[in-house]
Amino acid sequence: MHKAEQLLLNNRRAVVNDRVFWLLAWTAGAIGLLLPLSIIGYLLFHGFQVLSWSFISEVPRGYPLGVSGGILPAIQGSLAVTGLGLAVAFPAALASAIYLSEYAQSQRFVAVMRFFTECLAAIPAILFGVFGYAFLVVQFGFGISVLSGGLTLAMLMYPVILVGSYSAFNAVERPLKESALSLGVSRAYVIRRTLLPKALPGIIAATVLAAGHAVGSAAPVLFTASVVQTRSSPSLDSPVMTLPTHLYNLVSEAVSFEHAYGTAFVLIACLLFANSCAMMLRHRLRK
Amino acid sequence: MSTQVASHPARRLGGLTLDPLVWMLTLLALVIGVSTFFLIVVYVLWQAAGVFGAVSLSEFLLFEPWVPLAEPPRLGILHAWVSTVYVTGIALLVAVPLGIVMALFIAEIAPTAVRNVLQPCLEVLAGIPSVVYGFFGYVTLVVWFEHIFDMTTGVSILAAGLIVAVMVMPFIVSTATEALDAVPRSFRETGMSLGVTRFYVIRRIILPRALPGIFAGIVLAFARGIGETLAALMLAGNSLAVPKELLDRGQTLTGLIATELGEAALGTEKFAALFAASAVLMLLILLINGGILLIKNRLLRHAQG
Amino acid sequence: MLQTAINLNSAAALHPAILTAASAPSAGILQTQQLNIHYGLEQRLFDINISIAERQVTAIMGPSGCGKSTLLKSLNRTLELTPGAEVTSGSVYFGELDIYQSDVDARAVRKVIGIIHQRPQPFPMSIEENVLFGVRFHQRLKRSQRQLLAERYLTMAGLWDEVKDRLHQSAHQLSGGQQQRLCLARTLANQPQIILMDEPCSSLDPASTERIEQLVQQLKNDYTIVIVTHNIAQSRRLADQALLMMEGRVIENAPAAQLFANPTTVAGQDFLQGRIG
Ligand SMILES: Nc1ncnc2c1ncn2[C@@H]1O[C@H](COP(=O)(O)OP(=O)(O)O)[C@@H](O)[C@H]1O
Ligand SMILES: [Mg+2]
Repeated sequence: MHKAEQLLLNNRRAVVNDRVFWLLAWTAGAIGLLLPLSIIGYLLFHGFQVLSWSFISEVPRGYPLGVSGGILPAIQGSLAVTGLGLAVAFPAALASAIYLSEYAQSQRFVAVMRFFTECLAAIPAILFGVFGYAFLVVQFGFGISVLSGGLTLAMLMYPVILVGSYSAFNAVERPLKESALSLGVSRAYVIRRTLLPKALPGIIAATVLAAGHAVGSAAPVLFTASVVQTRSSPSLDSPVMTLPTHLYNLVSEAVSFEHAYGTAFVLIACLLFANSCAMMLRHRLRK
Repeated sequence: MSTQVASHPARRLGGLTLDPLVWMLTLLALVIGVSTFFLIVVYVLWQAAGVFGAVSLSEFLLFEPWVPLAEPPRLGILHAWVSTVYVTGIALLVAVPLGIVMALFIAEIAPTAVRNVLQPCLEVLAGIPSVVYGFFGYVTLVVWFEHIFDMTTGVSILAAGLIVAVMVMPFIVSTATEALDAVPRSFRETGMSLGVTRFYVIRRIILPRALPGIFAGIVLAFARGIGETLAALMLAGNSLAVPKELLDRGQTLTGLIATELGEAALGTEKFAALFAASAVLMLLILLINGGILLIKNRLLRHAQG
Repeated sequence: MLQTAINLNSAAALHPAILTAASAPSAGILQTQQLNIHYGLEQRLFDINISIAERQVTAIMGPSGCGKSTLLKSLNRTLELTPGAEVTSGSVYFGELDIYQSDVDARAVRKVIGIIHQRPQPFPMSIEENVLFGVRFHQRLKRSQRQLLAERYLTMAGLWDEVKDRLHQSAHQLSGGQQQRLCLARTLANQPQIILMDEPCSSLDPASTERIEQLVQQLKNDYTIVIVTHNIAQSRRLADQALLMMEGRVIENAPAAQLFANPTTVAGQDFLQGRIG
């Protein structure tokens, strides 16, 4: 009987360890849930109080500029640079993904290209900003403009969309492709008629996420596209205000925390919109 | 292949299929797209080379202070990389243990429903823009620090480190979860059927098996941490002194670049010095990412046979 | 000295209140009572009442999908490791102790009633670590004891001679048959009283199968063995008692010789003559 008690005793420490681990794990899980909820909740709560129609639809006013009025030019500017970036990056990335998944003959070539694409994706946003500033703004003489900022964001988004689209193409079942090809039609036809429709949700999800990320990214546009204030509406060769740099200016110059909350609200709303779009698309993909 | 069969006439364009054209255009897009990588790397290195007429590598990295307005300008980045190491170090110190336990929770313990809520939440956390994190830290952490530590201004290495911790944590969680999920489920059942606790199975079988993947995630998180700009810029304090304590102010490499670039003229030594700082950052990050990618590809090839 | 460290097993280990459990071998060391099991909403086992006699080999037969593995896992509380699986009513008595009673530690049950799965599953560690995986949890081992224990159980599983030179190498380099014997050694090292085997030979070649069968013959002197098998010839060779299951119910339950000689149900006859399964 002694021995039996020994067994229970020996087990006990491990059982306590297991309990402690279980508790820690649930605590970590709770933190993982509460952290995003409280950060997002905090920003949305404060931002919501600032938000009004005029905040979205008016230009910044007051002295220093931004203490009153709205953030319309920043919204327009962000849309302009991100839109231009997408217009360049999306077709390029989609075409690249099509080449890699459908035309490339050598697996080694695909692997090498993917390697460099992922390296490009690993470069931090600030370096795109530095490069865009020196190369596009100064050396090419594009100046601080929507053009420079858009091209810089395009470089930022290209690898992300490429990798996402490539995996979306690869997720389409091989038999489908093969049977389509065996009908004797061209590859381009198969891509357009069977692959693209199947892969589209995945491609759009990757694109929406990349664009959502680009909208909020201040570092690439800080020196390539943005200024503290503009009056005119965006054009290709003029500088603009953007949402993230506007937020940065409001905070770093301590202009107006109220307006900073409002701007952060808009940025968070973009993020939540992009994420829920991507989630819905992925959900549909799974069905 | 079976494509030898003649194409359907309707699919032809003036007797030609679209294939050669599409082939050429897509290849062109790929070549141009991927070559931006080399363009950036080469250009940054080329611009950076200019600084070494003014200072030697060891002076640049270790001995000179950053006084660009001095005559001649003194261009050392010691304070910046020390700040970067501090901030990223604090971030990993916090995010790694928390992230690993969270990943263990998601992969080993959480009911599916909880997992399905938690993972999108963490995805949102990962998506919050850096500048918003900076602002959030500014109105919360920095204010608390001023109260708690009785500081005149709460911006500090510690504030930046804690916010960067929140930023890299979701990444650590997702890579670690992936590594844990890759361990075959049957190990868990067989292990538990020997009458041991779940924790013992995790400690003896699952964690050792997932460790390489988890470690890779941590290293990649380090690379992300050192490239983090806006939050570090807004919270670290932009001080040119080499930080010694957690509550000192500092300026990370990224912060240095973001602060000074707008005022540097092309061709000056300062401009070159900022590019050299960028090059240091870039090479470190590419080394880490490239290394991990190569190892992973090699392992994949092994796994396939 | 090793002897004292080993043999800790009795029902008392599971539940301090019962000190004289398993003292009535005539009633069977392991008994189920009206056992019903569901996977989600789907019922898969119906009113199982069986009794397993101590130090005998009990074979469970039946066509695939009839619930053999489910029943076996329910006997040592490993079924609950499968998400969705649930014992919805009934009990399993180990001696006089209901192992599904709420204050019984499932892990202690699994230690005393070991299980070997269909596919050998060595852990990603050395051969010696594999054998000692459970032991090192259940009792503290001195470094010097490790090799002795590993040798003892590898010998019992008939594997010692083949692996004694590579105890510290990975277990994954062993052949399928060797891996299965390693899993047996790992279970034996836990010092169980009962060993459950779920088609232990179904993924092995004939020579390895014969090895395992020999081991079962030896082990039944000291252990109670329940073996699930798809192979009628194998249960003829091994079993003292035989059960036949069909669609979640036990339809035949008799001493092996009797069951094979004259099955009482039509389905039983069909199965034994190879018309089902
Ligand atoms: N994890 C599970 N989830 C749902 N149903 C299951 C699961 N495992 C087994 N079943 C079902 O329970 C029944 C019995 O399965 P099992 O005990 O594995 O049969 P056997 O071992 O006799 O081949 C089968 O009909 C099977 O479909
Ligand atoms: Mg089975």
